[in-house]
Amino acid sequence: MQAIDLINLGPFIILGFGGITVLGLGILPAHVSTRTLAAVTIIILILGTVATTLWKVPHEIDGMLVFDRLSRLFVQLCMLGAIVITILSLYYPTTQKEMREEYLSLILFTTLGMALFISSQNLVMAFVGLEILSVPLFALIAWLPKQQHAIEGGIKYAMLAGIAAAFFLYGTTLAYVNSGSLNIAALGQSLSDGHLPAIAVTLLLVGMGFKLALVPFHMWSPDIYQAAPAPVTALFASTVKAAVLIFLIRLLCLNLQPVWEALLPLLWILAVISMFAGNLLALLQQNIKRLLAYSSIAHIGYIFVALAAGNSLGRDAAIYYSLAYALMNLGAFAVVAALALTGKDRQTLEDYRGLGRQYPILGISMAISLLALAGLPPTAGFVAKLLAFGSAVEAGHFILAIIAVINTAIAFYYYLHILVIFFAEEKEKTGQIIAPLPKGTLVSVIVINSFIIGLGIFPELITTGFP
Amino acid sequence: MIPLSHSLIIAALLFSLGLLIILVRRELLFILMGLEVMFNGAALTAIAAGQYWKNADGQILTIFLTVVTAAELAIALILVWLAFEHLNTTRADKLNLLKDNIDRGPP
Repeated sequence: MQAIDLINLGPFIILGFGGITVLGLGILPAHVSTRTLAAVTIIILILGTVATTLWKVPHEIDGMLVFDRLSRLFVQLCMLGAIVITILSLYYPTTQKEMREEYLSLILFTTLGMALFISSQNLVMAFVGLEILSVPLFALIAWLPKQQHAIEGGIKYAMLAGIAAAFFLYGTTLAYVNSGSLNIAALGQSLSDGHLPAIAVTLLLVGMGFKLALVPFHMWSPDIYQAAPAPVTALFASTVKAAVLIFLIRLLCLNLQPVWEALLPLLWILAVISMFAGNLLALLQQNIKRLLAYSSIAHIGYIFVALAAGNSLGRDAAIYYSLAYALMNLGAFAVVAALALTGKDRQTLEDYRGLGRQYPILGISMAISLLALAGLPPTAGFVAKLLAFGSAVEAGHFILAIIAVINTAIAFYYYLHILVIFFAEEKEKTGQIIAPLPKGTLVSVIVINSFIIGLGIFPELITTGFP
Repeated sequence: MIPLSHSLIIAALLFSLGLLIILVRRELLFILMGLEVMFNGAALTAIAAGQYWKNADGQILTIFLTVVTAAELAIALILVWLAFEHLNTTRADKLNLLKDNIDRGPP
Protein backbone atom coordinates (compact mmCIF):
# COMPACT_ATOMS: atom_id res chain seq x y z
CA MET A 1 0.00 0.00 0.00
CA GLN A 2 1.51 3.27 -1.10
CA ALA A 3 0.62 6.82 -0.21
CA ILE A 4 -1.01 7.37 -3.58
CA ASP A 5 -3.35 4.43 -2.96
CA LEU A 6 -4.38 5.97 0.33
CA ILE A 7 -5.08 9.34 -1.31
CA ASN A 8 -7.21 7.66 -3.94
CA LEU A 9 -9.10 5.69 -1.31
CA GLY A 10 -9.82 8.95 0.53
CA PRO A 11 -13.47 9.41 -0.51
CA PHE A 12 -14.35 5.83 0.45
CA ILE A 13 -12.65 6.16 3.84
CA ILE A 14 -14.37 9.49 4.48
CA LEU A 15 -17.79 8.07 3.61
CA GLY A 16 -17.33 4.90 5.66
CA PHE A 17 -16.00 6.63 8.76
CA GLY A 18 -18.46 9.47 8.24
CA GLY A 19 -21.37 7.04 8.38
CA ILE A 20 -20.06 5.59 11.63
CA THR A 21 -19.46 9.10 13.03
CA VAL A 22 -23.03 10.14 12.32
CA LEU A 23 -24.25 6.95 14.01
CA GLY A 24 -21.97 7.70 16.94
CA LEU A 25 -23.40 11.20 17.38
CA GLY A 26 -26.68 9.56 18.28
CA ILE A 27 -25.32 7.89 21.42
CA LEU A 28 -23.85 11.06 22.88
CA PRO A 29 -25.42 11.87 26.24
CA ALA A 30 -26.40 15.35 25.06
CA HIS A 31 -29.24 15.56 22.54
CA VAL A 32 -28.02 16.43 19.06
CA SER A 33 -30.63 18.16 16.90
CA THR A 34 -31.60 16.76 13.51
CA ARG A 35 -30.32 19.91 11.81
CA THR A 36 -26.86 19.40 13.30
CA LEU A 37 -26.83 15.78 12.19
CA ALA A 38 -27.85 16.77 8.68
CA ALA A 39 -25.17 19.47 8.63
CA VAL A 40 -22.52 16.92 9.65
CA THR A 41 -23.74 14.56 6.91
CA ILE A 42 -23.54 17.29 4.29
CA ILE A 43 -20.05 18.31 5.46
CA ILE A 44 -18.90 14.68 5.17
CA LEU A 45 -20.29 14.47 1.64
CA ILE A 46 -18.62 17.74 0.64
CA LEU A 47 -15.32 16.49 2.09
CA GLY A 48 -15.75 13.31 0.06
CA THR A 49 -16.31 15.35 -3.09
CA VAL A 50 -13.20 17.42 -2.40
CA ALA A 51 -11.24 14.21 -1.83
CA THR A 52 -12.18 12.95 -5.30
CA THR A 53 -10.50 15.98 -6.86
CA LEU A 54 -7.21 14.87 -5.27
CA TRP A 55 -7.31 11.57 -7.18
CA LYS A 56 -4.35 10.73 -9.36
CA VAL A 57 -5.96 9.48 -12.55
CA PRO A 58 -5.68 7.00 -14.13
CA HIS A 59 -4.74 4.72 -11.28
CA GLU A 60 -5.63 1.21 -10.22
CA ILE A 61 -5.38 -0.51 -6.86
CA ASP A 62 -4.51 -4.22 -7.01
CA GLY A 63 -7.00 -4.90 -9.77
CA MET A 64 -9.77 -4.04 -7.33
CA LEU A 65 -10.67 -0.40 -7.83
CA VAL A 66 -9.98 1.76 -10.83
CA PHE A 67 -9.77 5.52 -10.73
CA ASP A 68 -10.29 7.35 -13.99
CA ARG A 69 -12.23 10.38 -15.18
CA LEU A 70 -15.38 8.30 -15.58
CA SER A 71 -15.40 7.08 -12.00
CA ARG A 72 -14.47 10.54 -10.68
CA LEU A 73 -17.33 12.23 -12.53
CA PHE A 74 -19.93 9.74 -11.35
CA VAL A 75 -18.68 9.48 -7.77
CA GLN A 76 -19.05 13.27 -7.62
CA LEU A 77 -22.55 12.98 -9.09
CA CYS A 78 -23.52 10.46 -6.40
CA MET A 79 -22.20 12.75 -3.65
CA LEU A 80 -24.13 15.70 -5.09
CA GLY A 81 -27.22 13.50 -5.26
CA ALA A 82 -26.77 12.44 -1.62
CA ILE A 83 -26.42 16.09 -0.52
CA VAL A 84 -29.66 16.96 -2.32
CA ILE A 85 -31.42 13.95 -0.78
CA THR A 86 -30.27 14.95 2.71
CA ILE A 87 -31.61 18.49 2.25
CA LEU A 88 -34.89 17.22 0.81
CA SER A 89 -35.38 14.72 3.65
CA LEU A 90 -34.68 17.43 6.20
CA TYR A 91 -37.63 19.48 4.97
CA TYR A 92 -39.84 16.56 3.89
CA PRO A 93 -42.77 16.74 6.33
CA THR A 94 -43.24 12.99 6.77
CA THR A 95 -39.67 11.98 7.55
CA GLN A 96 -38.79 15.21 9.39
CA LYS A 97 -39.73 13.85 12.82
CA GLU A 98 -38.35 10.38 12.18
CA MET A 99 -35.07 11.37 10.59
CA ARG A 100 -32.34 10.60 13.05
CA GLU A 101 -28.74 9.46 12.84
CA GLU A 102 -29.65 6.02 11.42
CA TYR A 103 -31.43 7.50 8.42
CA LEU A 104 -28.54 9.83 7.60
CA SER A 105 -25.88 7.18 8.10
CA LEU A 106 -27.80 4.85 5.78
CA ILE A 107 -27.70 7.58 3.12
CA LEU A 108 -23.93 7.82 3.59
CA PHE A 109 -23.50 4.04 3.38
CA THR A 110 -25.58 3.74 0.25
CA THR A 111 -23.46 6.49 -1.31
CA LEU A 112 -20.36 4.51 -0.35
CA GLY A 113 -21.87 1.49 -2.11
CA MET A 114 -22.48 3.52 -5.25
CA ALA A 115 -18.92 4.88 -5.23
CA LEU A 116 -17.49 1.36 -4.85
CA PHE A 117 -19.73 -0.03 -7.57
CA ILE A 118 -18.83 2.77 -9.99
CA SER A 119 -15.09 2.36 -9.55
CA SER A 120 -14.86 -1.41 -9.18
CA GLN A 121 -12.57 -3.33 -11.49
CA ASN A 122 -13.22 -6.70 -9.90
CA LEU A 123 -16.47 -8.63 -9.87
CA VAL A 124 -16.33 -9.41 -6.13
CA MET A 125 -15.75 -5.73 -5.40
CA ALA A 126 -18.70 -4.91 -7.65
CA PHE A 127 -20.90 -7.41 -5.81
CA VAL A 128 -19.97 -5.96 -2.43
CA GLY A 129 -20.62 -2.46 -3.76
CA LEU A 130 -23.98 -3.53 -5.16
CA GLU A 131 -25.04 -4.96 -1.81
CA ILE A 132 -23.80 -1.98 0.23
CA LEU A 133 -25.85 0.17 -2.12
CA SER A 134 -29.05 -1.86 -2.05
CA VAL A 135 -29.38 -3.13 1.54
CA PRO A 136 -29.68 0.40 3.07
CA LEU A 137 -32.25 1.22 0.40
CA PHE A 138 -34.81 -1.31 1.48
CA ALA A 139 -34.50 -0.12 5.03
CA LEU A 140 -35.02 3.45 3.79
CA ILE A 141 -38.07 2.52 1.70
CA ALA A 142 -39.81 0.92 4.69
CA TRP A 143 -38.52 3.63 7.03
CA LEU A 144 -41.99 4.58 8.30
CA PRO A 145 -43.78 1.23 8.70
CA LYS A 146 -46.98 2.97 9.83
CA GLN A 147 -47.13 4.79 6.51
CA GLN A 148 -49.55 3.23 4.05
CA HIS A 149 -47.87 0.76 1.65
CA ALA A 150 -44.36 1.33 3.06
CA ILE A 151 -43.80 -2.28 4.15
CA GLU A 152 -45.17 -3.66 0.91
CA GLY A 153 -42.74 -1.50 -1.06
CA GLY A 154 -39.84 -2.47 1.18
CA ILE A 155 -40.54 -6.19 0.82
CA LYS A 156 -40.91 -5.94 -2.93
CA TYR A 157 -37.60 -4.08 -3.20
CA ALA A 158 -35.91 -6.60 -0.92
CA MET A 159 -37.11 -9.55 -2.99
CA LEU A 160 -36.07 -7.89 -6.24
CA ALA A 161 -32.67 -6.98 -4.81
CA GLY A 162 -32.21 -10.56 -3.62
CA ILE A 163 -33.02 -12.04 -7.02
CA ALA A 164 -30.79 -9.44 -8.68
CA ALA A 165 -27.94 -10.34 -6.33
CA ALA A 166 -28.40 -14.06 -7.04
CA PHE A 167 -28.23 -13.54 -10.82
CA PHE A 168 -25.27 -11.19 -10.47
CA LEU A 169 -23.42 -13.74 -8.34
CA TYR A 170 -24.12 -16.64 -10.67
CA GLY A 171 -22.86 -14.54 -13.57
CA THR A 172 -19.76 -13.67 -11.54
CA THR A 173 -19.00 -17.31 -10.76
CA LEU A 174 -19.53 -18.39 -14.38
CA ALA A 175 -17.14 -15.66 -15.53
CA TYR A 176 -14.67 -17.05 -13.00
CA VAL A 177 -15.17 -20.58 -14.34
CA ASN A 178 -14.38 -19.24 -17.79
CA SER A 179 -11.13 -17.45 -17.09
CA GLY A 180 -9.96 -18.23 -13.55
CA SER A 181 -9.89 -14.58 -12.58
CA LEU A 182 -12.38 -12.09 -11.22
CA ASN A 183 -10.66 -9.01 -12.58
CA ILE A 184 -12.75 -7.70 -15.46
CA ALA A 185 -9.71 -6.55 -17.44
CA ALA A 186 -8.26 -10.07 -17.17
CA LEU A 187 -11.63 -11.50 -18.19
CA GLY A 188 -11.49 -9.47 -21.37
CA GLN A 189 -8.02 -10.78 -22.25
CA SER A 190 -8.78 -14.47 -21.73
CA LEU A 191 -12.09 -14.84 -23.51
CA SER A 192 -12.50 -18.41 -24.73
CA ASP A 193 -14.47 -19.27 -27.82
CA GLY A 194 -17.48 -21.05 -26.31
CA HIS A 195 -20.74 -19.53 -25.17
CA LEU A 196 -19.70 -19.30 -21.53
CA PRO A 197 -18.56 -15.63 -21.52
CA ALA A 198 -21.77 -14.52 -23.23
CA ILE A 199 -23.91 -16.53 -20.78
CA ALA A 200 -22.01 -15.11 -17.80
CA VAL A 201 -22.39 -11.52 -19.02
CA THR A 202 -26.08 -12.10 -19.79
CA LEU A 203 -26.62 -13.26 -16.21
CA LEU A 204 -24.79 -10.17 -14.92
CA LEU A 205 -26.98 -8.10 -17.23
CA VAL A 206 -30.13 -9.74 -15.80
CA GLY A 207 -28.90 -8.95 -12.28
CA MET A 208 -28.36 -5.32 -13.22
CA GLY A 209 -31.61 -5.31 -15.22
CA PHE A 210 -33.57 -5.86 -12.02
CA LYS A 211 -31.86 -2.82 -10.53
CA LEU A 212 -32.43 -0.72 -13.65
CA ALA A 213 -36.08 -1.84 -13.97
CA LEU A 214 -35.44 -2.97 -17.50
CA VAL A 215 -38.42 -4.69 -19.16
CA PRO A 216 -39.06 -7.71 -18.55
CA PHE A 217 -37.74 -7.22 -15.00
CA HIS A 218 -39.79 -4.11 -14.27
CA MET A 219 -42.91 -5.64 -12.65
CA TRP A 220 -42.58 -4.22 -9.18
CA SER A 221 -40.62 -1.08 -9.87
CA PRO A 222 -43.62 1.33 -10.09
CA ASP A 223 -44.95 -0.10 -6.81
CA ILE A 224 -41.64 0.62 -5.14
CA TYR A 225 -41.51 4.16 -6.55
CA GLN A 226 -44.98 4.81 -5.21
CA ALA A 227 -44.42 3.29 -1.77
CA ALA A 228 -41.14 4.98 -0.85
CA PRO A 229 -40.98 8.45 0.72
CA ALA A 230 -40.33 10.93 -2.10
CA PRO A 231 -36.69 11.80 -1.15
CA VAL A 232 -35.82 8.09 -1.08
CA THR A 233 -37.52 7.61 -4.44
CA ALA A 234 -35.39 10.47 -5.73
CA LEU A 235 -32.31 8.61 -4.47
CA PHE A 236 -32.92 5.26 -6.12
CA ALA A 237 -34.51 6.69 -9.24
CA SER A 238 -31.49 8.80 -10.09
CA THR A 239 -27.99 8.20 -8.80
CA VAL A 240 -28.40 4.49 -8.00
CA LYS A 241 -29.44 3.78 -11.57
CA ALA A 242 -26.60 5.93 -12.92
CA ALA A 243 -24.14 3.92 -10.79
CA VAL A 244 -25.47 0.61 -12.13
CA LEU A 245 -25.37 1.91 -15.71
CA ILE A 246 -21.77 3.04 -15.33
CA PHE A 247 -20.68 -0.37 -14.09
CA LEU A 248 -22.54 -1.95 -17.01
CA ILE A 249 -20.73 0.38 -19.44
CA ARG A 250 -17.38 -0.30 -17.76
CA LEU A 251 -17.95 -4.05 -17.98
CA LEU A 252 -19.36 -4.30 -21.50
CA CYS A 253 -17.92 -1.39 -23.41
CA LEU A 254 -14.53 -0.80 -21.83
CA ASN A 255 -13.41 -4.33 -21.01
CA LEU A 256 -15.39 -7.00 -22.85
CA GLN A 257 -15.85 -5.63 -26.38
CA PRO A 258 -16.17 -9.11 -28.03
CA VAL A 259 -18.97 -10.07 -25.66
CA TRP A 260 -20.58 -6.67 -26.24
CA GLU A 261 -20.65 -7.33 -29.97
CA ALA A 262 -22.08 -10.81 -29.41
CA LEU A 263 -24.88 -9.39 -27.25
CA LEU A 264 -25.92 -6.56 -29.60
CA PRO A 265 -29.14 -8.30 -30.81
CA LEU A 266 -30.20 -8.86 -27.19
CA LEU A 267 -29.58 -5.20 -26.34
CA TRP A 268 -31.56 -4.21 -29.45
CA ILE A 269 -34.60 -6.21 -28.31
CA LEU A 270 -34.36 -5.00 -24.70
CA ALA A 271 -34.22 -1.40 -25.94
CA VAL A 272 -37.35 -1.77 -28.07
CA ILE A 273 -39.52 -3.53 -25.47
CA SER A 274 -38.39 -1.21 -22.67
CA MET A 275 -39.24 1.89 -24.68
CA PHE A 276 -42.67 0.67 -25.76
CA ALA A 277 -43.67 -0.84 -22.43
CA GLY A 278 -42.55 2.21 -20.45
CA ASN A 279 -44.19 4.79 -22.67
CA LEU A 280 -47.47 2.95 -23.23
CA LEU A 281 -47.93 2.15 -19.55
CA ALA A 282 -47.20 5.76 -18.62
CA LEU A 283 -49.69 7.16 -21.11
CA LEU A 284 -52.88 6.88 -19.03
CA GLN A 285 -51.24 6.84 -15.61
CA GLN A 286 -52.72 9.29 -13.11
CA ASN A 287 -50.30 8.76 -10.22
CA ILE A 288 -47.30 11.02 -10.68
CA LYS A 289 -44.73 8.77 -9.00
CA ARG A 290 -45.84 5.74 -11.02
CA LEU A 291 -45.86 7.86 -14.16
CA LEU A 292 -42.26 8.91 -13.55
CA ALA A 293 -41.39 5.26 -12.83
CA TYR A 294 -42.75 4.16 -16.21
CA SER A 295 -41.03 7.07 -17.92
CA SER A 296 -37.72 6.03 -16.37
CA ILE A 297 -38.23 2.51 -17.74
CA ALA A 298 -38.57 4.11 -21.17
CA HIS A 299 -35.41 6.16 -20.59
CA ILE A 300 -33.45 2.99 -19.79
CA GLY A 301 -34.71 1.82 -23.18
CA TYR A 302 -33.21 4.92 -24.85
CA ILE A 303 -29.89 4.26 -23.11
CA PHE A 304 -29.96 0.73 -24.46
CA VAL A 305 -30.51 2.18 -27.95
CA ALA A 306 -27.11 3.82 -27.51
CA LEU A 307 -25.55 0.63 -26.13
CA ALA A 308 -27.00 -1.45 -28.97
CA ALA A 309 -25.03 0.70 -31.43
CA GLY A 310 -21.89 -1.12 -30.37
CA ASN A 311 -19.42 1.64 -31.26
CA SER A 312 -17.49 4.21 -29.23
CA LEU A 313 -20.08 6.84 -30.14
CA GLY A 314 -22.76 4.71 -28.48
CA ARG A 315 -20.62 4.26 -25.41
CA ASP A 316 -20.08 8.03 -24.98
CA ALA A 317 -23.77 8.65 -25.62
CA ALA A 318 -24.69 6.11 -22.91
CA ILE A 319 -22.31 7.76 -20.44
CA TYR A 320 -23.76 11.20 -21.17
CA TYR A 321 -27.32 9.85 -21.03
CA SER A 322 -26.70 8.23 -17.63
CA LEU A 323 -25.59 11.58 -16.22
CA ALA A 324 -28.48 13.48 -17.78
CA TYR A 325 -30.94 10.78 -16.67
CA ALA A 326 -29.81 11.01 -13.05
CA LEU A 327 -30.07 14.81 -13.02
CA MET A 328 -33.47 14.95 -14.74
CA ASN A 329 -35.07 12.39 -12.43
CA LEU A 330 -33.49 14.00 -9.39
CA GLY A 331 -34.99 17.33 -10.48
CA ALA A 332 -38.48 15.93 -11.03
CA PHE A 333 -38.58 13.95 -7.77
CA ALA A 334 -37.11 16.86 -5.82
CA VAL A 335 -40.16 18.92 -6.80
CA VAL A 336 -42.48 16.05 -5.82
CA ALA A 337 -40.71 15.86 -2.44
CA ALA A 338 -40.83 19.63 -1.95
CA LEU A 339 -44.58 19.76 -2.56
CA ALA A 340 -45.46 16.86 -0.26
CA LEU A 341 -48.19 17.32 2.33
CA THR A 342 -47.83 16.36 5.98
CA GLY A 343 -48.26 12.62 6.31
CA LYS A 344 -48.31 11.75 2.62
CA ASP A 345 -47.14 12.71 -0.83
CA ARG A 346 -49.46 14.30 -3.32
CA GLN A 347 -50.22 11.22 -5.37
CA THR A 348 -52.58 11.87 -8.27
CA LEU A 349 -51.96 14.44 -10.95
CA GLU A 350 -55.09 16.33 -9.87
CA ASP A 351 -53.45 17.04 -6.51
CA TYR A 352 -50.94 19.18 -8.38
CA ARG A 353 -53.49 21.37 -10.13
CA GLY A 354 -52.39 24.98 -10.10
CA LEU A 355 -49.32 24.44 -7.94
CA GLY A 356 -47.03 25.78 -10.66
CA ARG A 357 -48.69 29.18 -10.27
CA GLN A 358 -48.57 29.13 -6.49
CA TYR A 359 -44.90 28.22 -6.33
CA PRO A 360 -43.30 29.78 -9.41
CA ILE A 361 -39.75 28.57 -8.73
CA LEU A 362 -40.83 24.95 -8.25
CA GLY A 363 -43.15 25.25 -11.24
CA ILE A 364 -40.37 26.43 -13.53
CA SER A 365 -38.02 23.74 -12.16
CA MET A 366 -40.62 21.04 -12.81
CA ALA A 367 -41.10 22.44 -16.31
CA ILE A 368 -37.35 22.31 -16.99
CA SER A 369 -37.00 18.77 -15.64
CA LEU A 370 -40.01 17.44 -17.53
CA LEU A 371 -39.09 19.16 -20.80
CA ALA A 372 -35.59 17.72 -20.39
CA LEU A 373 -37.12 14.26 -19.90
CA ALA A 374 -39.22 14.85 -22.99
CA GLY A 375 -36.11 15.95 -24.86
CA LEU A 376 -36.47 19.63 -25.74
CA PRO A 377 -33.44 21.84 -26.37
CA PRO A 378 -31.47 23.48 -24.75
CA THR A 379 -31.58 20.90 -21.96
CA ALA A 380 -29.33 17.92 -21.31
CA GLY A 381 -32.19 15.57 -22.23
CA PHE A 382 -32.16 16.83 -25.81
CA VAL A 383 -28.41 16.37 -26.28
CA ALA A 384 -28.59 12.93 -24.65
CA LYS A 385 -31.31 11.77 -27.05
CA LEU A 386 -29.48 13.33 -30.01
CA LEU A 387 -26.26 11.49 -29.17
CA ALA A 388 -28.04 8.19 -28.46
CA PHE A 389 -30.13 8.15 -31.63
CA GLY A 390 -27.20 9.53 -33.64
CA SER A 391 -25.05 6.61 -32.56
CA ALA A 392 -27.80 4.16 -33.58
CA VAL A 393 -27.94 5.76 -37.05
CA GLU A 394 -24.14 5.69 -37.25
CA ALA A 395 -24.22 1.93 -36.58
CA GLY A 396 -26.83 1.45 -39.30
CA HIS A 397 -29.74 0.71 -36.99
CA PHE A 398 -32.24 2.92 -38.80
CA ILE A 399 -35.28 0.96 -37.64
CA LEU A 400 -34.19 1.25 -34.02
CA ALA A 401 -33.65 5.00 -34.38
CA ILE A 402 -37.10 5.44 -35.94
CA ILE A 403 -38.75 3.40 -33.16
CA ALA A 404 -36.94 5.53 -30.59
CA VAL A 405 -38.11 8.78 -32.22
CA ILE A 406 -41.72 7.50 -32.32
CA ASN A 407 -41.45 6.71 -28.62
CA THR A 408 -40.15 10.19 -27.89
CA ALA A 409 -43.21 11.57 -29.60
CA ILE A 410 -45.53 9.36 -27.50
CA ALA A 411 -43.74 10.49 -24.36
CA PHE A 412 -44.38 14.17 -25.13
CA TYR A 413 -48.07 13.60 -24.48
CA TYR A 414 -47.79 12.60 -20.85
CA TYR A 415 -45.01 15.02 -19.92
CA LEU A 416 -46.99 17.93 -21.33
CA HIS A 417 -50.14 16.60 -19.63
CA ILE A 418 -48.40 16.97 -16.26
CA LEU A 419 -47.30 20.50 -17.11
CA VAL A 420 -50.78 21.52 -18.28
CA ILE A 421 -52.23 20.41 -14.95
CA PHE A 422 -49.36 22.01 -13.09
CA PHE A 423 -49.99 25.45 -14.58
CA ALA A 424 -53.77 25.22 -14.85
CA GLU A 425 -56.09 27.61 -12.99
CA GLU A 426 -57.18 26.31 -9.63
CA LYS A 427 -60.71 24.97 -9.51
CA GLU A 428 -61.85 27.23 -6.70
CA LYS A 429 -59.88 29.73 -4.71
CA THR A 430 -59.32 28.05 -1.38
CA GLY A 431 -57.93 31.24 0.06
CA GLN A 432 -55.45 29.35 2.21
CA ILE A 433 -52.17 31.00 3.00
CA ILE A 434 -49.32 29.61 0.94
CA ALA A 435 -46.60 28.38 3.23
CA PRO A 436 -43.17 29.66 2.16
CA LEU A 437 -40.83 26.94 0.98
CA PRO A 438 -37.62 26.25 2.87
CA LYS A 439 -34.57 27.89 1.28
CA GLY A 440 -32.50 24.70 1.27
CA THR A 441 -35.00 22.91 -0.97
CA LEU A 442 -35.19 25.84 -3.35
CA VAL A 443 -31.40 26.13 -3.62
CA SER A 444 -30.98 22.42 -4.34
CA VAL A 445 -33.74 22.42 -6.95
CA ILE A 446 -32.21 25.47 -8.66
CA VAL A 447 -28.73 23.88 -8.65
CA ILE A 448 -30.00 20.66 -10.26
CA ASN A 449 -31.85 22.57 -12.95
CA SER A 450 -28.91 24.81 -13.74
CA PHE A 451 -26.87 21.61 -14.22
CA ILE A 452 -29.54 20.27 -16.59
CA ILE A 453 -29.42 23.41 -18.71
CA GLY A 454 -25.66 23.90 -18.39
CA LEU A 455 -24.90 20.37 -19.60
CA GLY A 456 -27.37 20.88 -22.44
CA ILE A 457 -25.50 23.97 -23.63
CA PHE A 458 -21.97 22.65 -23.06
CA PRO A 459 -22.21 18.88 -23.67
CA GLU A 460 -18.52 18.67 -24.66
CA LEU A 461 -17.60 19.02 -20.98
CA ILE A 462 -18.81 15.44 -20.52
CA THR A 463 -18.53 13.78 -23.89
CA THR A 464 -14.82 14.29 -24.49
CA GLY A 465 -11.86 12.51 -23.05
CA PHE A 466 -13.09 9.09 -22.06
CA PRO A 467 -10.83 6.14 -22.87
CA MET B 1 -11.03 -35.93 -8.55
CA ILE B 2 -14.54 -34.93 -9.59
CA PRO B 3 -14.54 -33.31 -13.04
CA LEU B 4 -15.53 -29.66 -13.23
CA SER B 5 -18.56 -30.30 -15.43
CA HIS B 6 -20.24 -32.51 -12.79
CA SER B 7 -20.08 -29.81 -10.13
CA LEU B 8 -21.20 -27.17 -12.61
CA ILE B 9 -24.26 -29.20 -13.58
CA ILE B 10 -25.23 -29.75 -9.93
CA ALA B 11 -24.75 -26.04 -9.25
CA ALA B 12 -26.86 -25.08 -12.27
CA LEU B 13 -29.59 -27.45 -11.05
CA LEU B 14 -29.48 -25.87 -7.60
CA PHE B 15 -29.72 -22.39 -9.10
CA SER B 16 -32.72 -23.32 -11.28
CA LEU B 17 -34.37 -25.08 -8.36
CA GLY B 18 -34.08 -21.90 -6.29
CA LEU B 19 -35.49 -19.84 -9.14
CA LEU B 20 -38.37 -22.32 -9.48
CA ILE B 21 -39.13 -22.03 -5.75
CA ILE B 22 -39.26 -18.24 -6.07
CA LEU B 23 -41.56 -18.38 -9.09
CA VAL B 24 -43.93 -21.04 -7.70
CA ARG B 25 -44.21 -20.38 -3.97
CA ARG B 26 -46.26 -17.45 -2.66
CA GLU B 27 -45.11 -17.56 0.95
CA LEU B 28 -42.48 -14.89 1.61
CA LEU B 29 -40.38 -17.16 3.83
CA PHE B 30 -40.24 -19.78 1.08
CA ILE B 31 -39.19 -17.11 -1.40
CA LEU B 32 -36.31 -16.21 0.92
CA MET B 33 -35.41 -19.91 1.12
CA GLY B 34 -35.44 -20.08 -2.66
CA LEU B 35 -33.05 -17.14 -2.74
CA GLU B 36 -30.76 -18.97 -0.35
CA VAL B 37 -30.77 -22.02 -2.64
CA MET B 38 -29.83 -19.79 -5.60
CA PHE B 39 -26.96 -18.29 -3.62
CA ASN B 40 -25.76 -21.79 -2.76
CA GLY B 41 -25.79 -22.75 -6.43
CA ALA B 42 -23.52 -19.79 -7.12
CA ALA B 43 -21.29 -20.67 -4.15
CA LEU B 44 -20.88 -24.27 -5.34
CA THR B 45 -19.86 -23.03 -8.79
CA ALA B 46 -17.30 -20.70 -7.22
CA ILE B 47 -15.74 -23.43 -5.09
CA ALA B 48 -15.61 -25.94 -7.94
CA ALA B 49 -14.00 -23.38 -10.24
CA GLY B 50 -11.52 -22.41 -7.52
CA GLN B 51 -10.50 -26.07 -7.26
CA TYR B 52 -10.17 -26.31 -11.04
CA TRP B 53 -8.06 -23.16 -11.47
CA LYS B 54 -6.06 -23.90 -8.31
CA ASN B 55 -6.37 -20.41 -6.87
CA ALA B 56 -8.08 -19.02 -3.80
CA ASP B 57 -10.33 -16.48 -5.53
CA GLY B 58 -13.27 -18.89 -5.59
CA GLN B 59 -13.09 -19.53 -1.87
CA ILE B 60 -12.75 -15.81 -1.11
CA LEU B 61 -15.77 -15.17 -3.29
CA THR B 62 -17.73 -17.79 -1.36
CA ILE B 63 -16.84 -16.26 2.00
CA PHE B 64 -17.89 -12.80 0.81
CA LEU B 65 -21.06 -14.24 -0.68
CA THR B 66 -22.10 -15.98 2.53
CA VAL B 67 -21.49 -12.95 4.72
CA VAL B 68 -23.09 -10.36 2.44
CA THR B 69 -26.16 -12.41 1.57
CA ALA B 70 -26.68 -13.28 5.25
CA ALA B 71 -26.76 -9.56 6.01
CA GLU B 72 -29.20 -8.97 3.18
CA LEU B 73 -31.52 -11.77 4.25
CA ALA B 74 -31.49 -10.51 7.84
CA ILE B 75 -32.96 -7.19 6.70
CA ALA B 76 -35.42 -8.98 4.44
CA LEU B 77 -36.56 -11.13 7.38
CA ILE B 78 -37.15 -8.02 9.48
CA LEU B 79 -39.33 -6.67 6.69
CA VAL B 80 -41.30 -9.94 6.54
CA TRP B 81 -41.79 -9.74 10.30
CA LEU B 82 -42.99 -6.13 9.94
CA ALA B 83 -45.46 -7.28 7.30
CA PHE B 84 -46.79 -9.92 9.67
CA GLU B 85 -47.02 -7.34 12.46
CA HIS B 86 -48.73 -4.56 10.50
CA LEU B 87 -50.47 -6.26 7.58
CA ASN B 88 -51.10 -9.67 9.14
CA THR B 89 -49.84 -11.60 6.16
CA THR B 90 -46.68 -13.28 4.96
CA ARG B 91 -47.96 -14.13 1.50
CA ALA B 92 -46.63 -12.32 -1.55
CA ASP B 93 -50.00 -12.33 -3.34
CA LYS B 94 -51.66 -10.52 -0.42
CA LEU B 95 -49.24 -7.64 -0.88
CA ASN B 96 -51.22 -6.11 -3.71
CA LEU B 97 -52.34 -2.76 -2.36
CA LEU B 98 -50.14 -0.80 -4.73
CA LYS B 99 -51.62 -0.66 -8.19
CA ASP B 100 -51.86 1.43 -11.31
CA ASN B 101 -54.24 4.35 -11.16
CA ILE B 102 -55.63 5.12 -14.59
CA ASP B 103 -58.95 6.44 -13.40
CA ARG B 104 -59.26 10.03 -14.52
CA GLY B 105 -62.01 10.83 -12.07
CA PRO B 106 -64.76 13.38 -12.67
CA PRO B 107 -63.70 16.01 -15.20
